[in-house]
This record gives sequence, structure tokens and C-alpha cells, in this order.
Amino acid sequence: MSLSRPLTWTLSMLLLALAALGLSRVGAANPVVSVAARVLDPLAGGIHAVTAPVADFVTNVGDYGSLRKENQDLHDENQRLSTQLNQLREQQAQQQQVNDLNGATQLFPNQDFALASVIARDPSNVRDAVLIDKGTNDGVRTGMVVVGKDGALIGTVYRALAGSAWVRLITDPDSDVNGMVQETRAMGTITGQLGHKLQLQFVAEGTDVKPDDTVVSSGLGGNYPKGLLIGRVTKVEGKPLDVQEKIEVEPAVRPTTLENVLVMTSFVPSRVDAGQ
Amino acid sequence: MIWYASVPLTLLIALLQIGAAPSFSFFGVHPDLIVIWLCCWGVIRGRQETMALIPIAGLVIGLAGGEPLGASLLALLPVAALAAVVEASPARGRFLAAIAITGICSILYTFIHAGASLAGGEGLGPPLNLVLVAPRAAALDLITAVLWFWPLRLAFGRRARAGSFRRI
Repeated sequence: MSLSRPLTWTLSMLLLALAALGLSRVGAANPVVSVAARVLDPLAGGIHAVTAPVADFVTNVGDYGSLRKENQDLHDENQRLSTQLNQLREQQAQQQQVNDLNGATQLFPNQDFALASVIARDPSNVRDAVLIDKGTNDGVRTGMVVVGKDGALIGTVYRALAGSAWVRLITDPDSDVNGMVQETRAMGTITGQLGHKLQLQFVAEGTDVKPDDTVVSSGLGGNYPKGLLIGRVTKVEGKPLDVQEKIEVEPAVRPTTLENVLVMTSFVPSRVDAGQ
Repeated sequence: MIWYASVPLTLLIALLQIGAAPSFSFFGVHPDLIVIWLCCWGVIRGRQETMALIPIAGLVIGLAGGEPLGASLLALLPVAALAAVVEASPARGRFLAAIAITGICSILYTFIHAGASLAGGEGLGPPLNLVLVAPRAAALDLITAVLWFWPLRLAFGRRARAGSFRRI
């Protein structure tokens, strides 16, 4: 091949390139570029979309060690933040409960209370009792009344130790509370049943008790202040010839979810000996 | 036959240069696939075919690459010249020749492309950047050329004719 042909080609290409540059400079190439971009840009975009993950892997493969460490650090950080978040949520829940209990104290302005946390439950299936973290050192005595949110009756202290106390819940089968249907003023005895339930017994014949009626403590006997919320009537069963109706009451406070309670330290039940 | 395959392959490599190569960034630079492709093609298939592929590659990159039209074409012209030098050389070391012209063309491509872009109205930043980038890009292009040459040679290399044995 003669030398003239490559030279001609080179000069042609040089002229073409310079002309194209000149057109670009003045903006005259823009229409051509726009038309070409309609075809070429989607193709280049498609190639980019396909190759980008490969490129990401290839370009970062050398950083495996640092990525692994960074991943571990982030994992640890995530774990720490999750723990912190759970702690904050727990604190918030605790604070909410304390606020609710504080609200309960407003209902009894003449009473003194000791805030206590439930720290254990009686493992037996036939008893409903909890252990609270306040005891005789905190002024808690046997027989004192324990209430919860909205001043609902929870139970009574049946064994006070130095730093803790066992509370028999009203749902304990051995628990009896003199109760009263708030709407009809019908009196009876609230007894605990297996399965964290309550039953209103010994209600006078002919008393009209209906579901959704509210049951409160009657104050009779002096063991509990009058008007403490006990629960709500859920079912009334009885035949015309029955001596007594079977009245089921749902406790206002679910015993299984108890976390914080208030011990009425200023209320002296009649069974609490003076000076104990 | 191979020549006809080279045109769509050149188009594909040009699109890869625009769409894929920037993602494969090592030490702050990405490979100039089109330079490597044309250099290898020039050594394996000769100057003449490369001269036909250069305007195709240069114009496609100019049209789709967001640069002044003609900048890539101008920057790729040295490939033809160096392919001609290799073709005229009696030396048999085609692999080393491909590596050598890839390195040279890569550096020339960086500088000529930058100059042409500047002439086309593009800003380039501090000139020191070019001095820093060009050797790194050339090194990356060399490594890529090493990986590409033998597969391309096997796929597109010219076979010796059977008659040539008789002449020996």
C-alpha cells in the first residue's frame, strides 16, 4: 500500500474531528447529538444497569476485609442501638404505669401510698399471688390493701418481709372481698376463681344485676376502703328457682400483666393489729 | 467475515465505554475500553481494519458520551499510526507490541481528548489532574490489554495458510 492512502485517511479524519469539534463549540452539533442520544442513551443506560452490580462487586472485592469489619461494626452498633431503644421503650412503659398509678393516688387524697414493683409470681396454679419489692422496711404491713391503675383493687398483703411482701390477689381462690354492684347497690362477696376470674356471690334474691355493671368494694368489714374498683359483670346465670344467681366478674386489673402496684400504707384494715 | 463482526463489536465496546467502564473504577480511574480494543485489533488484524473502526468508535462515543463531538475521534487517531508502525515492524512479538501501543495510546488519548474537549468548550479543572490521571489510566489499560489480547487473538487472529508450509 502506498503512503498516500494512510495520509489521506489521517487528514480526512483530522478534518472530520476538527469540524465536529468546531460544530460542537458553536452548538451546531446539538441537533445531531440529540437524535443520536435517543437511540444510544437507552442502550448505554441498559448496559449500565446490567453491569453496575458486577462493577460494584469487582471494584469492592479488594475491600472485603474492611467491608467485613465495617459490617461487623454496623451490626454491633445496630445491636447496641436496638438494646438502647428497647430500654427506652421499657422506661417509657414504666413511666406510663407510674403515671397511671399516680393518677390513682389522686382518687384517694387522704391516703398514703408506697409504690412497689412486682418482682415474682407464685408459681402455683391454684394460687394467685405476687411478690412486691417493698416490705416492712418501707412501712408495708400484713393486711394492707394493694391497688393498681385507676385505683382498682388488686389484693392484700398476706406476708410482709423486711424488703418484700407477698400480695394475695383478689382472683386468688382463697380471697374474699365484700363487694357491691355500683348501679344497683346490691351487695355480695367477691371470691377468686381458678383462671384469674372473680365471682360475685351471696347477692340478695331479686336483685337486678346485669352484664357490664360495675363492681366496687363495699367497705363492709373494714378490710377495704369503700368504692375501690373491682371489675365488671360479664355474665349473669340463674334459673327462676335458683336460690342464687351465678355472677361472673372480670377483674379491672389483669393479674397476669401486673408490673407496678400501690400499697395503701395509711389505710389500717380492721384485721391489722395496731403497732404491727 | 471477521471484519463484519468487528463493526457491531466496536459499537458494543463504545457503548460499554460509556455505560459500563465508569463503574469499574480502580484507584480513581476506569479503563479506556475503546483504546484497548482498537489497539489489540490493530495488532491482531492490522492497520487497515483499524482505520475503518476508529471513526465508528470515535463518533459513537462523541454522540453518546456527553463530550464535544470529535474529541474522541481525534484522540483515537494515534492508534492507526501506531498500528501502522507495528505492522511495518519485522519484530514478531505481537503481544508486547499490543501492550506497548496500548500504553502509549492510552496516555495520548487522555491528553488529546482533554485538549480537544477544552477546544470544544469543556472545562477540565487543574492541568495537574491530567498528569496524575494519565499514568494510572495507562497502567489500568495495560492490565486490561493483557487480559484481553490472547482471547481476542484466539478469536480473531489470522491463520497461516496451508500453502505456506509448501513454500518453506
